[in-house]
Amino acid sequence: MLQTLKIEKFRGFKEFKLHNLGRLNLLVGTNNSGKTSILEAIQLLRSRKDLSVLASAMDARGEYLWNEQKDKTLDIRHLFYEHEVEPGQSFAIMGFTNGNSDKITGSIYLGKSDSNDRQATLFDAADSEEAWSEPAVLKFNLEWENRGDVLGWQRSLSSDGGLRWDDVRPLRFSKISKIEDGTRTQFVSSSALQSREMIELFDKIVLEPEETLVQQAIRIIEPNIERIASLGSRRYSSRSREGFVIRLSNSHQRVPIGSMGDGTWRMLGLALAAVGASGGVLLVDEIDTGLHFTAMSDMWKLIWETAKKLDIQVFATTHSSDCWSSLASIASREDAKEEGITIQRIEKGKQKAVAFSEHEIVLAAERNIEVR
Amino acid sequence: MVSRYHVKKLIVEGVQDKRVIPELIEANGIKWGSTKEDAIVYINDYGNDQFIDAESIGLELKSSGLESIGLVVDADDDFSARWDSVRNALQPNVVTVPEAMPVDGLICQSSEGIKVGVWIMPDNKAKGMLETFLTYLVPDGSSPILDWAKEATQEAKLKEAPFKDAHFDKAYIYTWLAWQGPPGRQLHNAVQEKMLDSSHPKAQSLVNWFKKLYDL
Repeated sequence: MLQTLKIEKFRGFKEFKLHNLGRLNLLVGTNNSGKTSILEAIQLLRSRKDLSVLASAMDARGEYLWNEQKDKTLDIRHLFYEHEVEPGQSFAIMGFTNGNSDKITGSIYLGKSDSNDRQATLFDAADSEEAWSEPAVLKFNLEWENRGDVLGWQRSLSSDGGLRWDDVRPLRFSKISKIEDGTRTQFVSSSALQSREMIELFDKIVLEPEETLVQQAIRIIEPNIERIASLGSRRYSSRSREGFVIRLSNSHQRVPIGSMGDGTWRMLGLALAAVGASGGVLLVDEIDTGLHFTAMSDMWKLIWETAKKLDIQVFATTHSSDCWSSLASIASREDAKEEGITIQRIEKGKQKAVAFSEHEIVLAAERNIEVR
Repeated sequence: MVSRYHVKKLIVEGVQDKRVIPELIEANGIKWGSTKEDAIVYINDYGNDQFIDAESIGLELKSSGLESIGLVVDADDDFSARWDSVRNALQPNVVTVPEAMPVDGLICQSSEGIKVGVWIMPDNKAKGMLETFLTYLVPDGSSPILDWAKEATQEAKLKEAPFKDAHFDKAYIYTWLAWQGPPGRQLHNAVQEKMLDSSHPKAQSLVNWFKKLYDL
């Protein structure tokens, strides 16, 4: 479990630290304070060469370009504090656990073009001393350091300064992206998971003990749900809520899950992602999305119980007052102090998050102290 | 639910402080605001003096958007013991705490630059409480009545009136209020209706501390 996270020159953060992290951490802060960037930082730190996570996060933000060859490229400028790709530019994300550290560094440098570059970009080196040597290209270097082990990854950038989409597709790393147990990371964006991802996750746990967890989760929203089942693997469009049917206790017909409200879909996604993050990290952007405030305490209870049982560290964001104050209901429990529940306020321009302990969360809720 | 940050906050011991202080401020020409949410300063009556505590103050200082916070606490029976408890509570939370309590009220800063003010009732040096402070504001003309109210309260105590010794000044000011026209107004009404003099130097000292703390 991460105890401290340190970020340097990554996205909007020049230098930022989160301390005293617990098993469950709720990130709060104004719009554009960088809450989602912190989730991305954790995801990148734990990615171990599986850059598909980075690609989908950047895709969701619309941070891509189409270069002259009509190829889609990731606009990686935005990962850097300076919003530029120039030689010498770098960012770093560090995680600390019981004296051990984990680190990822991203940097831009000038280097020889790769043999596998389909389109080597000529860098204008006419003025430099190396004008006579091999043409240099801008390259993106990622380096993971974990307890002495170092993994490196480099790719040349496209002529528009972007990182080629094909270079970060998960398939490219099929050999090395086999993520060992214990480092699983699940990211649930504010728009929830897609049908395809959810069915994949569900099919892994069907008839396993974790299936009960998933049922409990959706019953928080609709107590009459008796069973839930997936409908196989045909292709579902990314927007709609398809692929699952449920049976209600007061009916003999099965009902498509799309007929139920936002809350059911959201809880199903949360529960599946939690189970899928077993032994790893669960990241949830705007965890309260689609949930009525009366469902919030039960949602926290479920997330907390699951996180403890499956050894998951949770990082979630919210803007909602009900969301953080309902967290107080589990923060007052005995086991909260042992395992750690924190609220971390992210503020622009500050160097560290304002951390609230379990006890402080409870007091702040009682005394009407605003943590957001 | 809070729709905006409490940028300026005042924590007081009881509901009487919460009612009297805004009247005193308004009587000095500063509009307080008509609702709790649009008041110039958000007041929280704590119900006791447990907010004079390092952890509580630390938590208050983490409150989002906060720029200045004031604490008004009664000296009660022992001013120096109260000052010690205030000092101990402030020490881990503010940059420097002076050795002695300034008579015009304390204003210091947290390491994050939040202004922290303390006023110890009645006047940052004597023992007593809000009601003691209010006896200072009785206009000079009423002094013979005030003296008589004090004697009557003492007399009542000798005759085993049930109020606690520590509450003498409360019994005393309410006795005086009982004889005003109209009789038996509440403390904050007495300030509002000018039975008590908000321009008295003792009142001005509190008002000046308040204005300085909250940049009014």
